[in-house]
Amino acid sequence: MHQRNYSLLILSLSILALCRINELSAELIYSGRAQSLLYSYEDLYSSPAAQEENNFRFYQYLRLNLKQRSEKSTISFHTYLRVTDDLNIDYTDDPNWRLYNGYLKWDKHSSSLTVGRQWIHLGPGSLTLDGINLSVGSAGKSQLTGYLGLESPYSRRFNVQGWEKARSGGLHFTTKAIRRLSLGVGFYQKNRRGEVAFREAGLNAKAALPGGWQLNSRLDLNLLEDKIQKGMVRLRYKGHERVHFFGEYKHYQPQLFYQSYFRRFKPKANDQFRGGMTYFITPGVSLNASYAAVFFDDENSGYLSISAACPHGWLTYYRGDGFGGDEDGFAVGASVPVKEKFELFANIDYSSYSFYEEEDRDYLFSSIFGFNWRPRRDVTAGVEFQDVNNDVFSKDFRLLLKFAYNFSSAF
Amino acid sequence: MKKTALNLLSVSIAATALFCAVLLGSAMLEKPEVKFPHAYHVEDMGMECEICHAEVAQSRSGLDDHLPGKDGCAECHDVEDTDLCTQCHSNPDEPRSFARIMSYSPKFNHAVHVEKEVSCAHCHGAVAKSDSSATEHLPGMEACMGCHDGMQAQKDCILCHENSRGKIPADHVSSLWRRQHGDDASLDNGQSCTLCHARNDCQECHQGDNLLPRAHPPGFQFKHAIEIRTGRTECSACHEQSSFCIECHTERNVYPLSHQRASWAGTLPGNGGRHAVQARINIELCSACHSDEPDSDPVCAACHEN
Repeated sequence: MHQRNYSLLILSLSILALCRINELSAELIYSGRAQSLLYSYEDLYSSPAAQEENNFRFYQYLRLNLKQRSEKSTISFHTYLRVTDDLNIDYTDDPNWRLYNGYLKWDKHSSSLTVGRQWIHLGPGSLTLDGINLSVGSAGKSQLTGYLGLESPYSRRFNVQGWEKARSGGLHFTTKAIRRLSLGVGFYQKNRRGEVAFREAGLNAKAALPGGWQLNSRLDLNLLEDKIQKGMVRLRYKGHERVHFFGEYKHYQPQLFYQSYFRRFKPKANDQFRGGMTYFITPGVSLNASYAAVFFDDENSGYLSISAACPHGWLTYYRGDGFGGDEDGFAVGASVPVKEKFELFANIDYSSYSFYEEEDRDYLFSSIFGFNWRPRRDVTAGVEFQDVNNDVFSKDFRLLLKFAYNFSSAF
Repeated sequence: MKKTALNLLSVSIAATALFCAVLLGSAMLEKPEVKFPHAYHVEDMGMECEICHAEVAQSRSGLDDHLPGKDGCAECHDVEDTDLCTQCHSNPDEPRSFARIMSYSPKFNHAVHVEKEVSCAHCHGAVAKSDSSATEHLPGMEACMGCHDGMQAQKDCILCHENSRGKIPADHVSSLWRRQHGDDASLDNGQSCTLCHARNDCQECHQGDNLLPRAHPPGFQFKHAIEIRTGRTECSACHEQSSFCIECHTERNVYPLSHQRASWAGTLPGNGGRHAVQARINIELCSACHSDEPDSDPVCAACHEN
């Protein structure tokens, strides 16, 4: 355990040392953020070998961007990673770390080539990819993007899946050639163990209509099954300074691998309707109400949310019912700046819920109180006290200490 | 069949609405008061920017008026000849000067940019080729962020905006933004978000094992089943893979409470108990823990194969 802690300490110091990177090269410009967190909490389901139930977990996050200093700078490196270890309980996967992204990027005019681990969210394709992404554009009007690689696994170690197991790729074309209209068409495929597991084509569009209306639509087609995987239409109105509202319809088919065992049960799709309105009493003070309904074959559920918000706080009442379970609750949050460099904040959430109609209700009460201190523009420190009460826990008091340092070469 | 018809109807409505939007949008171009062809003056006549915009190099406020008036144009043009009014004015019966720009940030400092040897063309390049004097040629925030990327120049909102909190787009403040912003981002891989956000910002939420920012209240682990059973939230937007769920539900032997109830698995033929009801509603939920990978054989096979 002592050896692991020293490794973590050395790694953390190395990360902080990167903050002095301006001594390395005058040709390199950089920005980033190092965030350290210490979180104490009680875990319900600790390792069987653990002698304690109280966790004392340390997290170190690093965001780093490096770019070659040049009028026509074309090469940059970006990464976001995390390492964590529990200082009190011996978990077998500790210390563990996650590389969320780490990639080199070449930019030239409106085109770019990205190589490495990167997050893609484009049309029907949404995944973390270990691979390459090539994007070719024309003066901001149109963009053609293609990507190919391996789907990155969710892993506590630096793992890469094999070509046979998880190769994925896609294409997407976006155009803004018509004023006030963005159109996109895309294709996405994921393989698993040498076979095609997902293959989708998608259309999406966003139109800014006169009078403050906005129309979003999306249609993803499952090409293996000739079905609509996801269809969505949303109309938003923001043309009045006091009243905004929206309406949305969504059709959703369960997303399963093509070879999935579960397909023999002929999964059914659901339809969802949502609507909501925001009324601005003043530009910073608003009332909001929204309702969502989900319809399956013989079942449905609903969710109502009513809230009020102002620059320093908000209050929400919510109620859900239907096949998913019943819940009623309210949440309150506030954030108050004090003496320019301090900020006090608090959140309280109470709900009464049951998973099935015939069962008694459980309750869940959680609260957070804390403050942030920002002595300089690039340094933030803070403390949070958290409390969780419910029938399972009875009571769990948690403490979160946080420190963040932003560094950059910017003048 | 009924659902297919409903889906096709929805798509048709969306397509029709888009078509109407294109027709209406194209009819709404604004016409400037003064017809001023920058391209002729800059590219054909070779005029320097400072000839008409004389005091820019000393300007330290975005509210300073750098647009030339009648006296400025009189240096080269006969402004008293009424036969020539239509050459420049859209409405010669009520000739007006350039509309003063009042919407730019008062904190914008031209002088600092000139001192840093940022050329006029670097920010205003498009206007040199323009035949119009419309304000659409003013550099927007996106142009500014080309240099104010946090590496070449500072990126803080407060640098240009008087109240950084107030410059959060109005639609971000709504609690619905969290569920709606993905549709905009999926059009262009989040490029429209990069004015303020880096790609790493997305992953602080969209890699669902981050401690901060907090997407769910403390204790959400106790009642998240309600959220996911209804299907109104796409958990996969942040928790990309089922291995996230497996970490608790399999590796740490945390069985969902529903599975521990006597009615969960029926014992009589044709009576699947509560699990059959649940699976018929939303079988994708089962695949979160019971693998649906190709060639895998989830626990269902023990009963359903026989």
